[in-house]
Amino acid sequence: MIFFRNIHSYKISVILLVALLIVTVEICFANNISVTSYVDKNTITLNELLRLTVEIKSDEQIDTEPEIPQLTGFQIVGQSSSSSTSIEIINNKMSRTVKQSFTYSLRPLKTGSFTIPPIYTKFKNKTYRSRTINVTVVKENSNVQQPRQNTQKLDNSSSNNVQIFLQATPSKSEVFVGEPFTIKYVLYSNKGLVGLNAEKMPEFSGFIKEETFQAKNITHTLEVINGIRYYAYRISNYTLFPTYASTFTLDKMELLCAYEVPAKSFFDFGTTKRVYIQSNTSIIKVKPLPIAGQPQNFSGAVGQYDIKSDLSSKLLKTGESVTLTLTISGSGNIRMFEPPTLPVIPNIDTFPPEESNDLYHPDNISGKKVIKYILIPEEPGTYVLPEISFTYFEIRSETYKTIYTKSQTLVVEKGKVTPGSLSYIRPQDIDIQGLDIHFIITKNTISDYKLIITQAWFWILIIISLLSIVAALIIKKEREKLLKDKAYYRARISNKQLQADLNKVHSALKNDNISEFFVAADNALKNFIANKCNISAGASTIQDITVELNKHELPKEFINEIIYFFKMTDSARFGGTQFSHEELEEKYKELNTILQNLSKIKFRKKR
Amino acid sequence: MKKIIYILSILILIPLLLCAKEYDLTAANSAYQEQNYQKAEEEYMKLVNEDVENFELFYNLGNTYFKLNNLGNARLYYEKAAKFKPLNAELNENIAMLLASIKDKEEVERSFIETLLRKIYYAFSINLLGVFIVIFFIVMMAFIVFLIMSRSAVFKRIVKVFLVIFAVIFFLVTVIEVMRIRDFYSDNNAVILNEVVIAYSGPSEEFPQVFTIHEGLKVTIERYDNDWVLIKLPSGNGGWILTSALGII
Repeated sequence: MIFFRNIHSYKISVILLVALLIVTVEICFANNISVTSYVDKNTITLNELLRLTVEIKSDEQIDTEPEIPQLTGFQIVGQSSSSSTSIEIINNKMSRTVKQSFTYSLRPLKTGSFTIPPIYTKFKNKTYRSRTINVTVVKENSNVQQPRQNTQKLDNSSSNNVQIFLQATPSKSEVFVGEPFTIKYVLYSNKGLVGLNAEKMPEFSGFIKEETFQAKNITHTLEVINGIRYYAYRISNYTLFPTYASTFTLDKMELLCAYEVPAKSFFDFGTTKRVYIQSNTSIIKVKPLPIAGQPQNFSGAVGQYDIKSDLSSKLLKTGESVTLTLTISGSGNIRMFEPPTLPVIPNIDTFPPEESNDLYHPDNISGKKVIKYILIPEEPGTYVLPEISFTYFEIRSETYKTIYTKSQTLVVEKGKVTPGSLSYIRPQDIDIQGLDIHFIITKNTISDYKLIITQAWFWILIIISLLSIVAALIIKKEREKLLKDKAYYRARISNKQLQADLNKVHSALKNDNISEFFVAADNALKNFIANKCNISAGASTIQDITVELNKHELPKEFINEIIYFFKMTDSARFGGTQFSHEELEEKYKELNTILQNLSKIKFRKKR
Repeated sequence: MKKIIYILSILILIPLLLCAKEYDLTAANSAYQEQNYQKAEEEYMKLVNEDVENFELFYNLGNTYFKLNNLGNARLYYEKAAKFKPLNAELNENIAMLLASIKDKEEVERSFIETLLRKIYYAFSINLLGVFIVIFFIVMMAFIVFLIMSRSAVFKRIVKVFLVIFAVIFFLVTVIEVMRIRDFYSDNNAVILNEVVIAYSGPSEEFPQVFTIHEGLKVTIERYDNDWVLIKLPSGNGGWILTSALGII
């Protein structure tokens, strides 16, 4: 049970602690925040400014800002904020109020009745709002204070003679595109001013502007205009560079000036009056640069210039660098134009130039442009640095002018390359100086193109190779025949052998070698018949041959003739009979006749 | 056997002897070298008018027209030269240079496979392929003769394998050759020669305009109708233009 009770009391203490925390938080954030908004005037003219103030009151310093909604009919031209803290002690209770006020200057865009919607302020996820305000914008008319072009008179009866005007003075009213001119804003007032606030600074669209002077504090000089002494306050100076040709009405500068109205009596501490003024209108006519005669390399420089070049050294070694300084001095849009490009010098490495502009104050119109080119010769030799041309538009003569530097000579000697100092040399991309098509093929004799397949030899070769197959087939067939038929082979080769045999006979005849003649003649006839009849020549006797010849049904007389010839050769060989040369020739003819007759006969073996 | 070799060698020598008329380019080439491109053009054109077809002639003439800033004709003769040597590096670089100068953008993007196939397809000239065909044919026939004659079973088996391999190669080479010859004789491709050409949707100026093209563009010819020709752009668009504005490759 004790255990339980402990748990119970623990729960209670947790609940109490949470409750305490909630209360503390509520106390902490019980901020009394209120947002109010108001305007200085509910009816304004078109060329007045409306001051919209949003006040945020709270107990403590809070970090918030009102959210200005889209305002119809108005344009926010300025904004300022301030905060103040006040402490009150009532009935021994101290209350602190922090007041933050945000003031917006609103320029009416058109006439009519407008409602400034409630302005919301967010803080700690809570939104606070102010009430709506109605504002009427009316046209300038006699009932309402009318600002004049230069001078603004105040309807304050005690200071009728207050004259304040803002004078804008351009140095030129007609310029060329790019030609610089200055415009000065001076505020003239016959009363000493205690405060100045720039409501609207001119934008100068269509121009590149350089602010050359801006007033930092209220200082004045005394000037007399039309017999009246004025305090002259220099507000700002601009140098303007027109960017295109047109007729421009320059923006007005708008200032809010404060001057003191002196005390009228001892008890009057005097008041500060504020007055809103605008500068006078200036019209600038910007003429285009003539297109006729505009050189290709025109850099956009307008004015009056002079050019000179200077080489830091005229003798150096490879790997060393030399600086070519180009100075373009004169007056004009010095900052605006591109420096002239250095012509490509073969074998000289160049880096992108270093450019600096040195302008003379106060108007930044005249001065000089210094361009430094760093040249690193890669190969020894004598280099002629070409003339550098610079083209500008001369305002005085209204023409384009091209000026040149003098060409300079640079002598480069071969520098010593020590093994350790090779680090400078690095592989680099090949310097490609231009692209062109490949050169023609300088082959001076050509022949007309002929397709191979239109040539006869192409097809002849194809046909021959095809025929070779036919040939191969024929050969193969023949060979097969031979393999099967020895007789055919013999018959085919018999003529060859006969030729050889007859040669022997003939040579024996020539030599009158009788025995050899008859041996050869006998052999020739025997071999011929053996081949024809497919029998063995060596083994065959006259008897065998007779039988064989009879098989082939030769005429009897012819067989007898052959047998007679064999018998005659036998008897001549073995009988030792002497034959004269003429007789031998006769025998040779006889042999030839027999052979001729034999060859005419077809010895086809009957199977 | 000796006789056969004798006949064969004569047959091979005949084309060399026939190796026809030669033409002289000296005058034209030296005019080009002297940068007298007008004269060079005249000299080259003399041969073209004689119906001489030759890679060097067309290439040089293309160069001459390029130098004369006649981009249409330059393209025409480059493309004619490309029929002979489609993979010639110098020619292709010149064509690329020319493509950068003509007004109509012509993008030729090829995938890796396409490039590879193109390289195989154009690897050898038409005539070299013809020589290959003859050689392969003769070798194949020799193999067949061997198969007919030989009595060795082992050799026959080896030769059969070779014969199949050769037959496959022969077939491929022949297919490529036939396609190449067909391309060579095709007159479906043309180059625009007029500076500006308006294409209509039909063969008359009364039809609506479909596109405007400029000289140097390569187009495909679809069909003819009197003086008019239907062309197709690389993008696939078709239009009718006057035949006179074209040069057929």
